Order: sequence, then structure tokens, then C-alpha cells
Amino acid sequence: MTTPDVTPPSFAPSRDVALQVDGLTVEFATDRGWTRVVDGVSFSVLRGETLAIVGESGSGKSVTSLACMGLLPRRSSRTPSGTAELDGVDLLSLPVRAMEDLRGDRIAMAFQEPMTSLNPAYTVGDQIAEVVRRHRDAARKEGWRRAVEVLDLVGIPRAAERVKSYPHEFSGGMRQRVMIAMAIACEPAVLIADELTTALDVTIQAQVLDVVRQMRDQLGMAVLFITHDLAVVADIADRVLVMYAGQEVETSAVDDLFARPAHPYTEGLLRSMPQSSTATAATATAVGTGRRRLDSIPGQPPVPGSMPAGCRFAPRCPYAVEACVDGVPELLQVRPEHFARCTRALELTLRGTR
Amino acid sequence: MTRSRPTDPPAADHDPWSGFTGWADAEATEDTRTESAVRRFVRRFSSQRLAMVALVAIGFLVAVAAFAPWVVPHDPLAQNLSRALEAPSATYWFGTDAVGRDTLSRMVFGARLSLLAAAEAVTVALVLGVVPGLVAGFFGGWVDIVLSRITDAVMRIPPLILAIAIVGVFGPNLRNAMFAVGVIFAPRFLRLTRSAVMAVREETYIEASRSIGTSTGAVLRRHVLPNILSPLIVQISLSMGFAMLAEASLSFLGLGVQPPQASWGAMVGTGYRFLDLAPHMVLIPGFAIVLAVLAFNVLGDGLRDSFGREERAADR
Amino acid sequence: MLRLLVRRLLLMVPIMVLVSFIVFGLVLLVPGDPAIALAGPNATEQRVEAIRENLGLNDPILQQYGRWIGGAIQGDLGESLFSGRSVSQAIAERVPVTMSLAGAALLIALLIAVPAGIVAATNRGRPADSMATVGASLGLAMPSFWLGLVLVLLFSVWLGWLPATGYIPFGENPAAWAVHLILPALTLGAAAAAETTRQLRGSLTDVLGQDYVRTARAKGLRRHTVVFKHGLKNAAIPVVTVLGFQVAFLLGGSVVVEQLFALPGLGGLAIRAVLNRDLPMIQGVVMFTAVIVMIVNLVVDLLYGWLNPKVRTA
Ligand SMILES: Nc1ncnc2c1ncn2[C@@H]1O[C@H](COP(=O)(O)OP(=O)(O)OP(=O)(O)O)[C@@H](O)[C@H]1O
Ligand SMILES: [Mg+2]
Repeated sequence: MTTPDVTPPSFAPSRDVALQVDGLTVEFATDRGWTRVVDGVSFSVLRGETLAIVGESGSGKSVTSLACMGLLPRRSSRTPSGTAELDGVDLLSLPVRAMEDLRGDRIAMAFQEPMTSLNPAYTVGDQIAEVVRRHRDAARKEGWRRAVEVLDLVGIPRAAERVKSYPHEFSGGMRQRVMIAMAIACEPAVLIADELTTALDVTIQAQVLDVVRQMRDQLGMAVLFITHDLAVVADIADRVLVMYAGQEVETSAVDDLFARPAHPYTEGLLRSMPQSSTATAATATAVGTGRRRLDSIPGQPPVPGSMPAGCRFAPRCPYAVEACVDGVPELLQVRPEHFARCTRALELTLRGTR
Repeated sequence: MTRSRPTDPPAADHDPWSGFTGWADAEATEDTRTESAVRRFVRRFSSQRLAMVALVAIGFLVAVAAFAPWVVPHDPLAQNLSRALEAPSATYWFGTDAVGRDTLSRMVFGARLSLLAAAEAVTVALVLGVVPGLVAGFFGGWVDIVLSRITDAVMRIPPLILAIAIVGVFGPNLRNAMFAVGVIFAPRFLRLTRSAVMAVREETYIEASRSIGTSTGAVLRRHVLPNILSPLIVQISLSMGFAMLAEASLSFLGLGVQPPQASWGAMVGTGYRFLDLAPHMVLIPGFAIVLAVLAFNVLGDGLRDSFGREERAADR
Repeated sequence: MLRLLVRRLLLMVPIMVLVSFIVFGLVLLVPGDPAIALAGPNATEQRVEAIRENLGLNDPILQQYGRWIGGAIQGDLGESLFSGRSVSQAIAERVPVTMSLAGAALLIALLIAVPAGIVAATNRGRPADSMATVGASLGLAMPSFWLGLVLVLLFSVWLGWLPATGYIPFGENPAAWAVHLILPALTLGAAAAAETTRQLRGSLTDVLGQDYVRTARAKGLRRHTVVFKHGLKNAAIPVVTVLGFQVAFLLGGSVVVEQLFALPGLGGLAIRAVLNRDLPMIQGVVMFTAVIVMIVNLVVDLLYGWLNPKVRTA
């Protein structure tokens, strides 16, 4: 890797950085040897801020977040380079048991499938109290009390009763609230939400996003929000990281990204948002309309292990020129705090949604 | 897979995304789709080394059994009291029994007996299981309910005890014992066939075929049978192994094969009175049973893994 | 939970009736005139008449069934054709032996299978997994009587550590009872252990790949908590479901094992009854063991409700 001619998009350390990821690279063992699926991703999330990661299916969003959680399969994956610092500790090089101590305590994760991500055999109270007891050395009763408290916090009515219910006795949206309650039970510094709202219908989705926002503000958490859905991004994110084929291709504040995208891929994503919502996409009220998956740009993303030379998006890019195939594009700064991995980022004027 | 795109910069009013084809649902077509089911099966099966070994072992066993009279080194019934209970030697590879008969030769003929007996039991199970299974699955309704309840009831009776009871009613001999084993295996085949047929019945082409007046028998033969064939083959292989075990147990108890003939189980049964004097009489035939049953089980598992996923789901 | 129990009990009734049909129907399977066939080739006219009388063969079939099932419900399974003794009494005498054996075998099977299944599932593809898998395949392929003989050869004949045959009632000498049961129970339990190991390995592997296990790990729970709390309870469901069949298998297999180790249990009774073509005794043993299996199934259903809250609260 050549040295980028600009500094990576990290923010002034004076502001409170909760999670700082630098040059994260993840490889999986396949029949053809180690295949790189995440390639040098860097980002930071600040306390009280939401960073959204968007990208097509397979772009490496989940793998990135699982790497930060230390949840990648130990035998079939590796992180040959990069760091992920939380409170000055590199999570990637932490021993297994030390990572277990942080997981669920300082850095927590809420998953997509609310149906399958909760254990059907135990009450939700048990499953929440369990985290508290694990990390807070709390007595049984104390854990249970905390479970009621967080269930109440995420807006589950009659929390003191519902704590004794099993996951299948909740609706999808309520189950997702339970997931959030479980994740925030120990007041983590960083909350990762992987496609938290994908399975929900729009009204419920808006409610769950509200809960995330409230919890973030109350607890001062940094939130890493992974999604397919630009409408959700517009609703919840402060900043956005766009991933393509395992790389970050654009990162910016949310308004600037929607108004003036600098990478053709981002433009494609914005275009493939349903029309009705693109008009107001950057406003929080837009959630209601479209929830299409972002698989609507012509062509297929490249498969890990056989990445095109040069720019990885070039084969699908309507703006591609020879230079795109010849040279590997670096992240270019297009505006303050707005970067794009496109050789032509500075010369192209791309259409946003406003 | 990747399309080349114009490399010159687009004109100002030209829409760069004009190639946009709507919600792309282009899915890579699987090359393996075009491969015939048989070819795919052969490819998958031949890549399973263990199952291939099992197949070869079973082939060998069948060959030995088929050519028994020509391959035996000694007359399996010829007694030689002066050489009784001998340990394995160059003359008697597997030693001799209490009356000096050659263990190896008796085992070769025993293989014949055991395989035929197991095949008989599995045939009985097929007839008693598949036919009602087809009926229950195809017609559903109360026929299905009645047959399924009967199956449930039969499965509540400890299998070996039911087999013993049936032998008790008909009288102890190999034929009756194998009929009994067939009866206790039948519920598995019934359930298997029933669920496979039910799965196939949902398919629309069957509806279509019935609506143009194809007879039920023809529908069963043309559409249903091919679909239940692979789970049946798997079950047959597994059942052959278990039938050999059941035959061995019944013969060991004296309820199966009757002297002077001997299956492997019966040989263990007579050998165990001489356990301290001539352990080979017990160890060798028993070991043969283990290997044969293992071969059928491994073959069954290999077949299961080589058929498509649908068949695997329908099994059990 | 109570509703579940009642529902299962009600479901048991039709199956119980069907089982009794099958068991009673055995008499219809006897080729020719049952009385003559059962009496044997050299029987006197009186003996045939006696059998006909005992079985009530002169009455219409439904009446015969009614009489038999009426007695069975009150614990009277008729009289032996051979010795004239009460079938129920003969069974009652021998039940403790068979129950001891089957119970011990089940215990041994679980003691082997649970650790083996867990080790295999948590070490997929490693040597420990291969060992468990190969061991399970062997356990399923071995005839129990042969395994029993090998064990006798090893532990009794060669090493002289354990008795090869015999049974001491628990009330007489608990230690001797246990020592005499070790080899038979191991022999009988091997196949059940193999089957259970396979199942547990499969289901635990499935469960450990579930999303909620990932959630548990994301909570920072220790590995043993993840496997034992979040994994095992769910993985036990399919294993427990087939426990009823396992018990049925053990009861059947105990016939062979009792014969091999000269244990005076139901097995010997059944074999003697078969060789004597003692139909009431055969029917009695079959009916009795089927009832045991059904009771076990009931317990399994309740256990299933405990493991799976969805069933309980539905
Ligand atoms: N355990 C694994 N072993 C091998 N490859 C994996 C594994 N997990 C993920 N991958 C590969 O890594 C790539 C990135 O996957 P990832 O799950 O991060 O995508 P994603 O952006 O989260 O997609 P989605 O939107 O569908 O969730 C994919 O090509 C995937 O096939
Ligand atoms: Mg994902």
C-alpha cells in the first residue's frame, strides 16, 4: 500500500473518540487460500455520535463490526493488519479472555434477526440479567432489577411483568427493543447495531430508531449503525461511511453526502433509493417510504479473491476512464471532512438528492 | 460477468445511469443445474472415499456369498473331532469349532445366509412400508390418520420384543425371524414414503397431470416413485445393516437360523460356550458382523450425502 | 404444564388401544387353528381343549378381546399355557431385573454420550471429534451380544475384575448388585450411547451456529456458559425427543443381554415363552413393555415442555 496523500479521515483527538479503527484488514480461509474481504478500513466514532456504514450485500459491513467485537471465527479468519482502539486498548490484539471481559460491557452489539438472536429457552429477563451479572459482579436480584430497568428504558410497557416472558411472546419490534436493552444493560461506550431495523415494518422501524437515538443521548454512547437503507441513514446518522468490495469508498457528514456525493457508487446508491423518499431523504421524516435493498446498481459487485485491478468499482462505473483501471485510487479529500476513493472525485460533479 | 462501459466522459445532459435496468435480480445461473441428476450423484458419491470403500467391501461380500461353494477351502459341514477348537492356523485360517468344522468355510456360507436373510427382511419392510406409505401420503385424510396411528402404535412396542413375539406366534426359524424383522422396520419406510409423497403431492405438475385424467397408478409410477427413490435407497442401505444385526441377535437367541446351518450371529451364539477355550470362535464372526454392518451404514450415509438436499430433508 | 400433561394423557389413550389391538391380534396371526398350533405337534386332544378353554377361543373375537383387555386394565394378563401361572405375577417377579438393567444402561449411555457429544461438537474436525464419530459408528455396528462377549473375555476371563454372569437383588447387597450390572449395562448401553452421541453432536453443532449463540458470545459470556447454558438446553430438545425410542430399544435389547449374562429378567421369560409358544405370556410381556415405553414417552413430553417454553405456554 502506498502512503495516501491525505491523512485518513480521523477527527481531532480533542473531541471524544470512542472507537478508532485504523487500516482494518480481514481475511478468511477459503479453498484458494486466504481471501481478503475487508481491506484497510479506517474510521472513528465519537461519543454521542452515530456513524452509519452502508454498502451492498457482501461489502464487508458485518465482518468489519464483528472484527471489532472479536467475534470472527477464530480458526478460519485473521486480521493481518490494522487496529481497533477502544479507550486506548487495541481490541484486535487482545487475548480472548480479556476481549470477553470488554464485550457486552464496554462495546456491545445488537443484531438484526430479533427472532433468532434471542435464546428461545430463557426469559428475556434472564438473558439481560446475565450480562449484568457477568460484567458487574452483581447478585442475582441486582441483575434482575437492572433488567427491568433497561426494559423500561427502551420503552417496553409493564417491564416488571414482561421481564418474565420468553422471546416468542414478544412482537418483532418489541424483541428488537429487548435486543437493544440487552446491549445497553452495562452502559457500553460503543454500541454496534447490525441491520437492526431491516426486518421491521416502517412504523416500528421509526420507533426502534427513536429508541436508539434516545439511548445514545442518555448514555452518551458512540453508535455504529450498519444498514442497507439510505432512508435509515438519513434518519439516524451524523456521519456516513460507504463501503464497496471491502473498502471504504466515501465518508462524510450525512448532509453533505446526500447533497453532494463525491463517489459515483454513492451517487448510484442515492439514485436507487425510491423516488418518493429521495426528495426528502435527508430529513428524519423520510423513514416511512422506501426500504429497498441496495442491490439496484447495474452489474454485480466483485467477489472477494478476484478483485478487479485499479478501482474496484470501475467495471460498473459510468464515469470510468482508463486511469481508473490503471491506478489504484486513494482516498481524496474533496471538502473538509469529506473523502472519496475516486481518481476523478475532484473533477466530477455528481447528483445528490437535494 | 462485468460489463465494459464507455470510458469517455458523458455529455452534460447525458444520464450516466441510462444503463440502469431497474431492480437488478440477475442471479448467477448455477452451472451444475444443467448436469443430470445421475451424473451429479455419481460425481458426489465418487468423491466420498469412505463410502467407496464401503461399496467395494459390500461388493466383495456379495461376491463371496454368491460363489460360496467354489471359494470355500473346506466343507463347512465336515466334522473332524480330532481337530476341534483349534486356533487359526495355515490350514484353518480362522480356526475350527467344537466339532472341528472350518470356521472360515462356515463363515462364507454364513455370509450367504446373513445377506439373504437381511435382504428378505428389507423386502418385507419395503412391501409393508412403502405401499401403505404411498396410500397414506397420496390420499391423506382419514386413511392417512389411521395408518399413521397404527405406525405410532407399532413404534411404541420395543422392536426386538415385537420381533420375538412374532417369531413366537409363527414358530422359530429364519424365515419367520426375518419376516418379523421386516415388520419392525416397516414403520420407518412407511413414514419416509408418506412424507416424501406428501412433499411431491404439493407440486403443481401432479395436479396438472391428474386433471388431464392420468390414472392414479400412472401418476404414482411416473411422478411419485422417482421422487421417493433416493430416500428409499438410503434407507434400504441403512436397514440392510440393521437387519443383519437383528438377524444376528435372533439367531444368537436361537430364534433364527437353525443348526446345522449357521449365520454369523448363530456362530457367535454357539461359540460363546467356549469363550475361554477358543475365543476366536466368538471374535472372528462377530468382527465380520461389525464390518458388514459398518459398511452398510457408511454406504447409507454416503448415499444420503450424495443425493440432493430435498432427499435428505425427506429422509427420517 | 398441567394442560400439557392432560393433553398428552388424552393422546395416549388411542395409541394404547391400538397397541392392545396389535398385541391381542397376535393370536389371529397363528396359522391354522391356534389351539392346535400352539399345543404343538404331539399334543393330546385334552391339551388342545385346555388351550382352547384358556384362550376362550370358542367365543366371538370381540368378546375375547373384551375379556383380555378388561383383565389387562386390572392387571390380570391371563395364565401361562405352559405352567398355568399368572402372567402378571411372572412379569412382576422379573421386572426389577430388567428395569435395573435398562436403567443402568440408560445412565451409562448418557454418561458416555453427553460428554462425547459436547466434545465432538465443540471440536469439529479435530481429532477428538473424529474419535467420537468413529466410536459412535462402531457402537452402532456392533451386535450387543458380541460386545458383551468381548467385555466378558476382557474383564472376566482375562483380567478377572468383574463377574461374567448372575444377578444379586439390590435389597440383598447393593454393592454386589451394582458390580453384577456393570458389564451387562455397558453392553446394553453402548448402542444407545453411540446413537445419542451422534444426535447430540449434530444438534449441538446446529445450535452453536445459531444467532442466539452469537448473541451470547457478544455479551462477553465465558465459553463454558455459552456452550452449557445457551447451547446444551436447546441441543437437548431433539435428543430428548427420541429418548422414548431409546428406551424401547433398550427394553428390546435387554432380552439379548439378559440371556448372555444369565440375568433372570423379562428377556428370559420372553424367550422361554416363545420356545414354548406360550401365547398369553408373550402377549403379556409385549403389552407390559409397550406400556413402559408409553409412560417414558409421557415423561419425555413433559421434559420437552420444560426445555421448550413455546410448547409449555402455547
Ligand atoms: N465466516 C466467513 N467465512 C468466509 N467468508 C465470509 C465469512 N463471513 C463473511 N464472509 C465473506 O465476507 C464478505 C463480506 O461479508 P459481510 O457479511 O461483511 O457482508 P455485509 O456487508 O454485512 O453484507 P450484508 O449486507 O448481506 O449483511 C462476503 O463476501 C462474505 O461471503
Ligand atoms: Mg451483514
